[in-house]
Parts: sequence; C-alpha cells; structure tokens
Amino acid sequence: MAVLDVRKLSVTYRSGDGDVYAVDDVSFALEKGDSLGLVGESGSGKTTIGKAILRLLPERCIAGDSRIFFDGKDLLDASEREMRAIRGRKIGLIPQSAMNALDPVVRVGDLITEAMVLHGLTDRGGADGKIKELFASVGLDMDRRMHYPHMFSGGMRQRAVIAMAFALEPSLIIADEPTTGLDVIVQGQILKELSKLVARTGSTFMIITHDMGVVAEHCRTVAVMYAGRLVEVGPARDILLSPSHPYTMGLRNGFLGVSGKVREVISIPGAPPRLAALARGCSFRPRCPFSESRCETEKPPMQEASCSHRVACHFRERASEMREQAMSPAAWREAPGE
Amino acid sequence: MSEPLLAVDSLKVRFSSRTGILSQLFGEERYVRAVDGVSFRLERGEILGLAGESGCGKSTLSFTILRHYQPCEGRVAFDGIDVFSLAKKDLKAFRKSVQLIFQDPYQSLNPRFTVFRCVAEPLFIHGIRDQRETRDRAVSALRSSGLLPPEDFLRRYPHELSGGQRQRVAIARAIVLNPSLLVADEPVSMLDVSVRAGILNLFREFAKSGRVGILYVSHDLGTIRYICDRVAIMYLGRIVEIGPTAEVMQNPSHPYTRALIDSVPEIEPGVGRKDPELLEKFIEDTAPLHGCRFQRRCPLRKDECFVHEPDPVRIGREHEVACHLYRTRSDAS
Repeated sequence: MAVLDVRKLSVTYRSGDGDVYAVDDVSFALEKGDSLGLVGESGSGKTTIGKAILRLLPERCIAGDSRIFFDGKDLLDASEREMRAIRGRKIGLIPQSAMNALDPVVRVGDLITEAMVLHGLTDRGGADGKIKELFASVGLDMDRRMHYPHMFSGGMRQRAVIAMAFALEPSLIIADEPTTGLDVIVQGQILKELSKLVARTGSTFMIITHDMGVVAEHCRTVAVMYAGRLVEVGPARDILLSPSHPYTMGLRNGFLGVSGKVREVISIPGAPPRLAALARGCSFRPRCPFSESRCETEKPPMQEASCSHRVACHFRERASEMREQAMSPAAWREAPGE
Repeated sequence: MSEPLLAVDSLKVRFSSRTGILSQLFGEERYVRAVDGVSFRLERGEILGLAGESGCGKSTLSFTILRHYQPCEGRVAFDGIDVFSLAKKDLKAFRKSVQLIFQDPYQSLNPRFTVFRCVAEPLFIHGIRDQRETRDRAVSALRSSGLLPPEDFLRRYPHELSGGQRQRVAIARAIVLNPSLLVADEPVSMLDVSVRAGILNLFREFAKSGRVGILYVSHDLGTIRYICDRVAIMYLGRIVEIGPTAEVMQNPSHPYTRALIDSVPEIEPGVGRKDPELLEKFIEDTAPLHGCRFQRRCPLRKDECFVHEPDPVRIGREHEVACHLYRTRSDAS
C-alpha cells in the first residue's frame, strides 16, 4: 500500500484580486521507501502541495473532492487533534528557510528536546543521548546543542533543522528546497546526509526543488509541475534521459552542468501564466513549440507513456521526435520580451 | 601594451570585528580579512567569473572595485587610473563607466518608478535631460536588453513584470550610460531556469561587442562555465586558482577547485560523479593565521602548508594556482 496517495488535489487561494488556482487536479502516490522529487518553477504549486499534505492551508482553499491518504487515512478528514499527532511525528517537514525555522531565543538542543518530549518519545533526561546521535549523523558538534541559532552558519542551521525533523522518526519526510541558498559543497554534503538518514530509517522522502541536478542525484521518482498542474511523473532515469513532456524538455535544456561539452542553453520563450483562471486546454500551450489547435481547447489527461511513466501531453506518442527537435534552439524561437 | 580595463593589485580589505562597548574601548584591534591580497586583470570584451562559497569575499571584492569600500592595501586601476585617488570631479565620470547589476530584481527596482524612469534615472543623474534623447536612449537600452517592443514597456511598473523581465530592466538601466565595466553579482540566481538562459546570452552578446568587460560574480559554476572566458576561484579572501574557464573546469588544479567542481550535481543519472574529497566536512570559515588557508580541509596537505602561504604559480597559459603542490613540482624540475 502506498504511504502517501494524493488524489485530485486542487487548491485555490482566494485573494482580493480574484481566485488563484495554485494546484489543479494533482494525483500521485508514494510507496514506502520511495524518494520523490517534485520539480517546477517558482509559482508552479510545489510548496502548496507540501503544505496541503501537512494541512497547513485554510480548509476552504482545498476543493471538496480532493483526497490525501496517508497510511490509508484521509488527512483531509482528520481532526485538528489527530493532525497534531501526525505533524512532525508521522510526517516531518524540513522547511524552505532554515533561518526562520528555528526560534531565535531557544537553544537548538532545547528546541529538539521539547519536540521529542511533547510527542512522548523520551523524557528530558534521555533526550541528550538521542541528540548526540542525531547531531553526529548530520555532522554537528555536540556542544552545539547549547548554542542559539544566530551562532550557527546557514549550513549548520540547515543541518540542525534536518536533525530536528529526524528526531521524531517520521515515516514521511517532506523537504522544501532544503539546500537553496547554500553553496555547492555544503549542498552536496547535506543532501548526502539526508539520503543516508532516509535509507537508514526506512522513511519515505519527498523533496521539493527547482534544481534538476539535485533530483537527478537524490530521487528515484520525479514529478514535474507546471502552472499548478502535474505534467509528467515517473522514474528519475526516464524523465531526465527521455522526457516526454515539452516542458520537461525545456527545463532540461536550461540546465547547466560542469562536465561534458558545453551546449547552447535554450530558454523557454514567454513566462508562466498567471493562475487567475484555469487554462481551458494545456497550460503550457502558449510557450510550447509543438502545440496544435487541440491543445488550446482540450486539457491533456495524464496518460501512461511507458511503465509507471505518466505524462499530460496530447502528443506523447511523438515524444522521441519532439525530444530530437527540442535540442535545437530554432524550435524554441524567442518570444518578444523573453 | 595598452592599459587593461581593470587591474587589481594585491588588494586587501578588512573589517573591524570588535563588537560591544568594552572590547571597543579596551580590546585588541581585531579584523575580518575579507579580501586578503587579490590581483587580477580584466579586459574589454571579456567576461571574468568570480566564484567561491558565501563568505569567501567575492562580493566584498566587487564592491571595493566600485569604490564602496576602502581597501587597506593594494590598488584598483580602471583604464590605468587608480580609482582611490580620483579627484571628486572625476568620480562622476568613473561611476558612469562602471555599473552594477544586483542579484534580486524584486528589490533593485524602485516600485514607484515606471520602467522608463528606472532606466532613464542614470541619464538624469548624469545631466542628460533632453526629452528626445533620454527617451531614445532608454528605448535603445531596453531593446538591447531584449525587452521587445521597448515602447510597450516604458510606462509599465516593475510589479507588472515577471522576474526575468525585471532583471532585463535592471540590465537596461546598467547599460544606458554605455559603461565599459559591468559588475554582475549573481544576476540569474533568483531567476527560473527557463528564463535564465536568455539573460546569460545577453551578457555574452554585450561582451562580444568588445566595448565592455564583465565581472560575473556567482557561486554557480554551471553558468560560469557557460558564459565566462576566464574564471577566478576564491577561498577565504584569496584567489586560489585563475585561468581560462574551459581549462580550469577540465583540469582543476587546486584541491579546492576540484572539490568545488566535484560537488556540482549533474543531470544525467548515472554519470558517476566523483565524491568531492575534503578532510573536514563541516567547518567554520576563518582563515588560519599561518600557512595555506585551505589547510584544514585539504586532502593533499603537507607540512609546508601549515607554515607558508603559497604564492600563485603559473601552470599554463594564463592559468595560475596558489598551492604548494605546484611550487615543489617546478622547483624539482
């Protein structure tokens, strides 16, 4: 059985300027021990999905027929009391900004102890042993538990937050851009520690990121979001080597590594749509080099491209041909103003 | 030989780190050596990448070049003239020919200015007020920055634009005075991958015109590899390796450069990237008092590294490394 099963999740934010359709009809499932990379550009709805799973959004934002099953139980039906027992304990969160995730007037060790005591994992006396173990696994010195967050560097703060998330031994861990803003060396080290912890504890892992490189190295499954919709999901290998959605092909073109030969970098013309209205057809159509008239009117359903690889594109049969063409800058003629 | 556009010679910048009233009154003078002896040249038509971890001094270095900080030692020469000895009346001309592009286009544009005003402001400041001329120059700067058709953007406000478009406005503002030096501090790190390429290609075009030299400050080696002719790798206030980008990336010679390059994730699954080799995994970054500043993390360190700071050694055409590994090799031969 899947640990996490998200079905038809739709989230609409209501604002003074009208509704914003942040997430539209997203479904995916995660098996135990799986690692999912949720990728997409800013504003594509990745973080909103993470928040919806932890029920951190106002209830009225979430559409009535959305379902989020965690260990077989629909989180959207859970009471606030039940949720409190789940948050942190069953589903851990490593938030985007470690700067803001720690309390500036509480010692880091005390913060972790408090969480463990509240969830009844240990008493105050026994906490130190556990912290020692956690700190060692993320490469922090034990003396550090007595320090306040401002005495930590950015990378150390991030490690402290990771230690905190693992302290409660959750079975699902959601990491929202855990290394954005950190240097490559530190990023590599932290992601490695994170992957090791996930493997050792047997937890399921979901990482929200915009960095395809991070996903390529640390995730088994990849889900690509565009403008609130899931456009492609499948094994990391398939998606990165042979993407079937034109948007994924475009994302891949924009990636700049340091090995191999230097390729021409191609940007996707245009900009992501404002989410003030749901696109009638495919939301990527205005920027897609392969769009045809039906893309304007028919919303492409999620369909299998190959085993466990699903894609929302009308022309998934032509994927290999499109891949070929997408490598050439001419296909992505630059639209005015970007 | 004519003077290089920009010549930086053994530049040192330090900040006092005394905090609190008691230590200010009685404490010993203590400094953070943010830039600690940096030298390099930059020509017109060239893009030099400046890479390194946060806190290595790359931003301090670029701001010092722009005269925002006063160095305690060393020299910055722009077109052969020492920028710190400029008379007040020459300052304005200097500021006109060096321009800065910031990281965050959401904060670097005045939200109450129209795009026209944002771009024309430098012209006003430098006394160009003729309506026809300011408009023409703003339009042509916007066009060069890829905002097409430029006339459509003039009356819009920053909040109506996407991140990529805003960064293009910031670039238009920087080039409207026809500067000869552009300093770009992480200009694409806030932008989405799909629009990043357009901005990078813009920098390449500017450099190709041959009128401007670009100092591209970033910790992203992928973008540096894509647009920079040469790259300088900084570590704790010093340049540890500098050379042609392709050569440094293919043949990283300083152990730090090697670790840095090995840390960049690759997109092809199973490319089999090596794990970076570093001794101490997690470290607080202050330079040691003696010897090489990379000594604590270096997998190849020797006794000598704890005693003497290595000087830059030339190991190829324009390729220099500050590491004892190379010193001994050349001594032996």
